[in-house]
Amino acid sequence: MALFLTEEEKAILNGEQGEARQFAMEVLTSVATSCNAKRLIPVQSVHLVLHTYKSCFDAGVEAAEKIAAMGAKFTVPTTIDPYGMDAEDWKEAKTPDHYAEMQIRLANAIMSMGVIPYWTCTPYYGFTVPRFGEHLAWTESSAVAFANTVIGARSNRETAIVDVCCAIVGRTVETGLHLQENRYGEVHIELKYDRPLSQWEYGALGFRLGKLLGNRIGVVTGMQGEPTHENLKTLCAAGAASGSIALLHIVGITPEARTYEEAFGPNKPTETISITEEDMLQTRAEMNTHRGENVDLIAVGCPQYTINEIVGIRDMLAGRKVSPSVQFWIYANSFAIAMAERMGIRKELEDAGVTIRAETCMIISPIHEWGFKVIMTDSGKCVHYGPMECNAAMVFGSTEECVEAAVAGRVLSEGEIA
Amino acid sequence: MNKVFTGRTAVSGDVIEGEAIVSTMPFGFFGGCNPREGIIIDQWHDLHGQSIKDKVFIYPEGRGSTVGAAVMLELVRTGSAPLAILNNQCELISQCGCILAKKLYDVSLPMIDQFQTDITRAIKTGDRVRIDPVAGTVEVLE
Repeated sequence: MALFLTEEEKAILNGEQGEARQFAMEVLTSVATSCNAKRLIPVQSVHLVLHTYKSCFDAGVEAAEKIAAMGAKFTVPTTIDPYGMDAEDWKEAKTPDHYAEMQIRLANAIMSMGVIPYWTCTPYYGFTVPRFGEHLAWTESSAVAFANTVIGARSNRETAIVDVCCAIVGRTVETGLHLQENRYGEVHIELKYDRPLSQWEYGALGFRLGKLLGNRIGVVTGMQGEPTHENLKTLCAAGAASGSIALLHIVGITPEARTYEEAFGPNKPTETISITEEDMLQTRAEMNTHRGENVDLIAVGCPQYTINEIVGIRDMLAGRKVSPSVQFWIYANSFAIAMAERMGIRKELEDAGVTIRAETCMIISPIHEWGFKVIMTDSGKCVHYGPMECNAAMVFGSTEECVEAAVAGRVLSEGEIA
Repeated sequence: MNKVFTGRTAVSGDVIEGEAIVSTMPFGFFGGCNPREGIIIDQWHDLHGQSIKDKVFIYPEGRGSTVGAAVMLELVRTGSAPLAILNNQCELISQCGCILAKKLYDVSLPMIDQFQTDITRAIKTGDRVRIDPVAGTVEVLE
């Protein structure tokens, strides 16, 4: 089956619109041919993961510089994942000089192509909010899962560097989740709950589903109450990290899953898996790679915190201070931080001993320089990557438990929290 | 007569001969191997501690993070990449890594998948194989 190209796409491929667009089109047509796609499709926005020296290495920096040197310019709104180090004060955040130099080179190359420098893993809270049915070329796995699951937009988990090519020509390969026939449910997940999930259970559910589903599409029934978009952000991020979840049908929440029947379409479930409260407690125990009450860092904001979540931390602290024996960091993007400043909350938090880490992320910044042995978090995604990327043992808990640990300077047992 | 297996050319490249290293577990490059040495660092992987550098790397299917392609490019940049990749079913991330290796570093890193048999059982670690990416064939050399 030959790949269909429009007249314009052929012209780009022939180099009639410059070297950068030709390069990008060569890459996309190679990818399209490799996966037997019929054609390319226009996308409304692109989100890049060529964002940090920590995960793209010298080759990623070189690739960005090579493509920038061809004169590349992005032709659709393009955002980018968190900055590879604290964007306000990388020196204070113990970033090694060589690392910082490479990060700045990478950022300069990407910036020269016209990226919107909104260093965030949550581009759906911003300038490229997708609409239902819209085609996207996004990379950040948690954002892809959110866009497909919560909004009903269509994106595959695009690949690093290929994402840059998508942004240059404003197109991606029509394959995978861009096609309706690949969006129906495969596995039935039955929540055996007679109450809404509590806050920590969203992260734990995502973590468990990622392990159970891999890259299969699950259909979740039995979710009660009104989960917030922050709850769903946490769930999607954990499932996209512990497995490869890009689309989860949550019946009654996912726009394409108003009913069980709609979610499965022509498919029959290949498997039905029940999840009980007991299972979730067991999952929570598996997520903890540390036993004991000592902790060095309490880190929240993976994905980056919204202003609502920052307000929540202020309220939970209720005037108390962080113990001097631990660090308590909140990761947030520039938008949430600006709002926290206007609302006077940043100062309140900093006076209480909380550190705001700007526009970056606990996983993809050089946090290992601090030598933390034990990190506590409310993020199911961070629990997955922490042992590898932060060289630390992980403790998972609700946001409230994280705040209580920060105040006490140790992980509290269940009965100790009032 | 040498055994020959035919698959689908996922990414074409040059004809090569080399030693096979075979895993029966899915593999992701990010967190899967050291990007400058080609040593498998994933502690749950059956090839943990072994090197894929200059080998024909055979595993059932790809998985994991979308920055895997950048890890593959760093392997290519430092001369630590495998010679070729054979899968039962390849996925987009490593396929893109192979395509970008050619485009950005002019290094041939062919990939073949969808053999008529489970390629991770048909070939053993240490076998010498000859890969013809255009024909989509793998020949086990005696």
